[in-house]
Amino acid sequence: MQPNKSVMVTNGGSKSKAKPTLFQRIKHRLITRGEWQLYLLILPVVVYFIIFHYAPMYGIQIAFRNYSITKPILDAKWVGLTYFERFIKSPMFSQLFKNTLVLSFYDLFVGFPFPVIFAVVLNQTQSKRLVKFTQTVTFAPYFISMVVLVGMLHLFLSPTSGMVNKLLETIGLEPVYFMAEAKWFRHVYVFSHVWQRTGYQAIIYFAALTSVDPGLYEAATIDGATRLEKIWYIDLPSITPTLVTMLLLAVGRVLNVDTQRTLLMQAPTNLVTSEIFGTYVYKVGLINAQFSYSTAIDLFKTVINLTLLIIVNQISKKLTEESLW
Amino acid sequence: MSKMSVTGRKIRSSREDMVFEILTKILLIIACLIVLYPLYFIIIASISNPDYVISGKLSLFPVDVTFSGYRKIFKFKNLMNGYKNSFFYAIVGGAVSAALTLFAAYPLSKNDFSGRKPFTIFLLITMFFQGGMIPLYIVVNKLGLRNTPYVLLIVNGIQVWNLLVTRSYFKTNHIESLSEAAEIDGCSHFGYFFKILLPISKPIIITMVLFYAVWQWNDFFRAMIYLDKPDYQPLQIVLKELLATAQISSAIYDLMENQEALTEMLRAAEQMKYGVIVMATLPMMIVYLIMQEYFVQGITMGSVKG
Repeated sequence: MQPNKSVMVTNGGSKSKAKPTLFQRIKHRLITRGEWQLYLLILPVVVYFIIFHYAPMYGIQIAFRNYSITKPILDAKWVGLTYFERFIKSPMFSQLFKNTLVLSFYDLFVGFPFPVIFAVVLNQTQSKRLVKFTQTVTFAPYFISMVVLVGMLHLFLSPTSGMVNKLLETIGLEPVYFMAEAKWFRHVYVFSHVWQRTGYQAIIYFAALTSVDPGLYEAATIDGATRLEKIWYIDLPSITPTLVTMLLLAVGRVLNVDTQRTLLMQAPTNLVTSEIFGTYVYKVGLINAQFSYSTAIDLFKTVINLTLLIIVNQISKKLTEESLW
Repeated sequence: MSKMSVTGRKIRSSREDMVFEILTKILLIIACLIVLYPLYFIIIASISNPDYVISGKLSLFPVDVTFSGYRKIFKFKNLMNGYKNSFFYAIVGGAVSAALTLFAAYPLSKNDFSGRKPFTIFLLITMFFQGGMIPLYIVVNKLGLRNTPYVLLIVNGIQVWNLLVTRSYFKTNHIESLSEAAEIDGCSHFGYFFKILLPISKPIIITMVLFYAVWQWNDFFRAMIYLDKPDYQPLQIVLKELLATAQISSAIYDLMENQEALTEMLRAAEQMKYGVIVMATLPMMIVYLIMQEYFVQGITMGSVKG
């Protein structure tokens, strides 16, 4: 800030005589203070975002037009809300909504406690070597690609050769085709997610826990607090802000279920539960080439997501004073 | 308070501590086993006789060790090509994306930069509102980027989250006195950024390169949308085909007449599946084990608002 001030002083000196014009002010900032260099540094990213994020936003209008890829967007006939109406009236509407919401909330409520509990247990363990080792091990699945993860699921859950079904067989149960049956899709999705992400997500909570003032624990010990009381009164409050932020972000993405993961886990026989917004948009848009219709579905999803995020953020602001912005 | 009750409490708390310590240790060991066993199984299955794997007789140690699965993998041209492409995407993508992210994050971290607020809002908006799959596809198509080796480097090449992480790193590690000294010496923004700030920001540089590289290596969906020809396809696409082809073939197995030849094919395919999983995951695991602290640091930095 110091060098700034000196500039401001000289600036202020001239101000008393004649107010610098807008052009002069811009020139002063850009040239004299060398801000053009900062603009130049950020320029590539800004141009990139204009082309690959804002131009697609402009392209959203095809949801309201009868667009075909051979003609320019503006030549396509304006059809208003036709595609939205068609979607809301189609039987897919309720199915997609239900599947996406159920999968998302199931994933959220089962997936959320695991990393929190895991981080608390890590923090309570005295053996630092075991803690370090466990962290290294549990973070590792995060680096496995979705294709490989789903491949592993197919191998382990195979009804003929998979180890899970072999285990079921030994205790006298019928083999289950986990990857094909519609009723199993959500469970496999959620628990494979827990396996892959718990270690990764725990890192954030663990970091919050390790920054707790050790004096608090000492004071609690002197007061005769049990370990569980320490967890309840020291650990949990100290990760609450992180928890709220993560929860907010998760709820704001509630209709953005991982399309890549779901698509890879789909089988023709489990579509009743596994068809979600993302996969349906992909199939309608890129496989059936119904560009306008699928963009309308996508936009519908985005708007609902955004509305949810704003509502949840508003509630959180009132209740906990935590806000995303 | 009498001495008695204090010591009594001490004994109680130390016994409680011991029980607690044992409990937490057991929990952590169980967590490790749940993660490690499937990974270990993949490795031993890739070098065991596939008959044992298919019949479920493999459990703790490799049986009838053979490397024929790997030998077949190395002869599989598409896979090797995918490997080569993925290395290209991970290395070039990691370097270019990280460089642009660092460049843009620096101005955003400077409180007195006149464009800080508008640009931050400009970037943040895209986190919550996107054009969506099809409008982006149309843009990429119009620019003639489909089926080129650049498309995967470009689409989603800069992630706002990474920009925010880098920005907050610069903010907290920005050394006021150095910046001042630099400005007094007539050092330009470029000079300060490239000669002073970057050399002391090695952790964030490494973290960003790693984040982008791992993501490029593991991502599948973009390649499926934008690349139809095998020339530029990354490893994940080839893997998907390999892992899925065998699934289909096991479904039609019963319908086939020449079952013996097919059984042989399935045997080989089964073993190859474990082998390709190992080969596709190994590079990232090695990078992870060497660079673990940078990944952890990048993730914890992301959780700090600012």
